[in-house]
Amino acid sequence: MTDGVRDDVSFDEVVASNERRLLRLALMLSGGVHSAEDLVQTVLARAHRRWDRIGSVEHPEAYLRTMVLNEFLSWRRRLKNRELPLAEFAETPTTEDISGRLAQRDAAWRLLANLPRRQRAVLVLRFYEDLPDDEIAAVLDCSPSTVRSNAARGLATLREGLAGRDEEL
Amino acid sequence: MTKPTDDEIGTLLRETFADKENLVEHLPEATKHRRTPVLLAAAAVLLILGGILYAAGRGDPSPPPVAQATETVPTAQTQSADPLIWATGIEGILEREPGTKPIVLYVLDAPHEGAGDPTGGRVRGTPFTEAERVGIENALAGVARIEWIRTAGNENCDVPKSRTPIITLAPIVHKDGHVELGISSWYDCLAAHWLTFRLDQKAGSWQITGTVGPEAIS
Repeated sequence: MTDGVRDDVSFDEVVASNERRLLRLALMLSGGVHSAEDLVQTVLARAHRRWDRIGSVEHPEAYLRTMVLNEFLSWRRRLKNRELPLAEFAETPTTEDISGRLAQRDAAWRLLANLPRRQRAVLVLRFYEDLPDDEIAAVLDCSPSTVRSNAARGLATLREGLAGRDEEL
Repeated sequence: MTKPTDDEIGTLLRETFADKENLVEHLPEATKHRRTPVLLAAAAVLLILGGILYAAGRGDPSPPPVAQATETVPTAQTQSADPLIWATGIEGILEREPGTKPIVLYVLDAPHEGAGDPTGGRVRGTPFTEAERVGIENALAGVARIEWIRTAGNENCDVPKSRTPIITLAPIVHKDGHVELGISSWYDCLAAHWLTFRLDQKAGSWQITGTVGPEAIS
């Protein structure tokens, strides 16, 4: 910032300081590292083409985060067809040697993958990004009540899934 | 069975997300990503085109020698036996632990000088390359799944009796006719094991033939 006028930041600077954060967010949304990578690559490629405009906004990093979210919401169907969600967990057929808590986390991760994309996005923004509902609503361009209902439905699905899993064990 | 409350699920989700975060650390920087695969793909295309043109130029009715050409180009994963040696060391130390074998291993994502030395003084080295990590994972497929971690920290101290060991590998020391590999395992923040394996190449694969120096268990 100079005399109240914001200097444009370079694409490289913003990517260098935010890339890992974007990848982590994309991982939580998509459920797989390769999907996350594709998601962020796509967003960064698009952002690069439009950097004249994005680089001049107040918080380009927040803009990129929103782009990742929107890309995820529009990509999800294709991701489902291309990458088996959480394929790596197919290699963990049993949890007999892992503590109950660790097994619960893996179960939660699997259940998250099956949630509708908006519900998952809301839960990621609330419990990973720690955003309040009004900010989540702004990011997802919906009302706070929609955020709450999506969160409630997502949590209910997880609750049923986790309880069902515990009964099976 | 009581169903978890929203707060309990929220806590579980926070733990889950925190638990999965380090998966991203395996990835190369996105801005540099895929240059190597792209170059390899381009090279493969050129190779195929070259083979076709060569065969066409000769008027040779036989198929272009594409398969042979691609087989003789060493990839990053086949240039070195190091991943196989590290994987053999991991298998070796797992076999020395009593009880049921773990299905997940936390492995530090860089070799550490002194990993097999119980007196400490470990020094983190250059992180494993992607090819090395993939090579180790592939060699251990069917044995255990690897999760790469940057530091031992408290990775599994908050889940007592998880039986998920933290494995630290040392750089491979190439000696005359054999190699030596320091390694340590750490279970449940309590049971630790340090040793240095000697490995010899037999029938095209690396086998543990003994240990070198002290072996310590705590």
